[in-house]
Amino acid sequence: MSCTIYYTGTLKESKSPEDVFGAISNHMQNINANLKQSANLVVINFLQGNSETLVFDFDKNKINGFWKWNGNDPEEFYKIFDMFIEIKPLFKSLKIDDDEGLWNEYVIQKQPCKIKLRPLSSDEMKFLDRIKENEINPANDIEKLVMAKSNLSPFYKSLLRIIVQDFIKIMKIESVDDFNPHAIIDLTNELNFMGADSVKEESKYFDFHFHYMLIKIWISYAFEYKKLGVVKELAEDIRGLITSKEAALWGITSIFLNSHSGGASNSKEAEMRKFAKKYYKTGSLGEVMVIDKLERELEFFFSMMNYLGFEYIGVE
Amino acid sequence: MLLYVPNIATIMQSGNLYVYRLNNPVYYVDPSGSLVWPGEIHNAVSNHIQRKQLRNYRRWITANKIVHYGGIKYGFANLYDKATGEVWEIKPLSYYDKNTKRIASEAQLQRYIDNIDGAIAGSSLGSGSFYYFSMGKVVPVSQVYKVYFESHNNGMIYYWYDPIFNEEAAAAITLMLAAMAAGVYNGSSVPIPGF
Repeated sequence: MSCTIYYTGTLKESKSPEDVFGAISNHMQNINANLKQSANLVVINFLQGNSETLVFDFDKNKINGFWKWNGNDPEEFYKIFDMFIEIKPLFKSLKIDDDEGLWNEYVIQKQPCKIKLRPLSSDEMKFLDRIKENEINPANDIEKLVMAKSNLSPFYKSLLRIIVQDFIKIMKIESVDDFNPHAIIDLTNELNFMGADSVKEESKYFDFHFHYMLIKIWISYAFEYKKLGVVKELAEDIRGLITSKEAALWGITSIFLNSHSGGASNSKEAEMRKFAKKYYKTGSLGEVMVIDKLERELEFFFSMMNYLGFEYIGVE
Repeated sequence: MLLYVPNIATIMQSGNLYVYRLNNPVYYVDPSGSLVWPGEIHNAVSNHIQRKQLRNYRRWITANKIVHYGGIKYGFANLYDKATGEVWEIKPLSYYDKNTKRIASEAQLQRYIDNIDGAIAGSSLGSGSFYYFSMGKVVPVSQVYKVYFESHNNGMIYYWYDPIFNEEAAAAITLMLAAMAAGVYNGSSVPIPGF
């Protein structure tokens, strides 16, 4: 098992690498490792597993590096998180991130949930009505094609079908032959959703990335952000927009569409996941709680999206 | 209503693959809860690629190549081909879409390359998909995952995964049983036909 932690930070002016060494020393009893310090280096050498040496190489009181955990015991990994929490007060800023989004989840889990569950608004009830209509009417060939192309297999397809229907309208797809990967890639790149160069090569990567393009396009066209306008028309530098878009993209795909690529991408998505777990608990035997009310899933969905600042406005 | 995710071992013993049908739960969150650790899929991708390269191309690619930086400092590259010096780093697909993370992981790969004599960024190892059977080390529950990966010419390999149930999981288990019967089951993953 493997996971990389990235860290970057600046020490407080009153603090030194020796202080970091001291704080880590106090924490070392929890970790099977050797600790050394010389000049501007603090080095942690792990005595079991295949974890890399963790090195804080201070350059004018700044650190910037990564550490790959290759151990056998996940607990050791979390002990390193605890160590970062321990030394954080010594830093003016200390930013931690990791491959699997585990840091975000770990930190957020220790705090109260910020998302409030609320009933559906009258506009959101229309969304519910659409889903009920869909249950009566089978998917047409275009919808079937887009759903198949998405490679998504959620346990309940109602939300996916709404996304697909909106997407078909946005892309003006009127027949199966109108499905044009090139146009989808062009639009995604034009939207500049978390980076303009994310999708470049049509044939090679399309199948892998289509479901993310689908969600990016849907969020951009079908949602407003904090009453400031449609997402696609907003500048990226609006406060909180980038992190909300990121959380919406990965949160929708993992929580509602059953497709995963690790843990939480940022603290907002971690908040969404915590909120979901609060209501959908897995027990000690792995049992999974399922809720058989359609309204309830939409209440979760809209509560989460509202927390991110998004309001569904639909597609003309 | 509570549903129990069945254990693959029990299903195999019973011989009845339809035990695995769950009557399609309508609402379901945190389906990856049975994964012991998200890095489990990371390792599955690494193992799958190694085996595929060995099986198809007689190419020996090792995992966790140790990289010495001098003194007591060292690191581990995810995949390394001794014959060509190629090095690869494996990341979740979300890295592909997040500029800062992509840059950080490419810098990480570069640091490994810089510290291995003659190493170069790995060439593409293609894209693929396979079924992965997690045996659930914390809770006695097994889970079948459909895992996708894609590799690039810059040494980066990205992956994502879906937990699966119902008919598809039953089909995956059938594949696994056939692989076991043929003596080619490799312990945790089965390639999806067509890839």
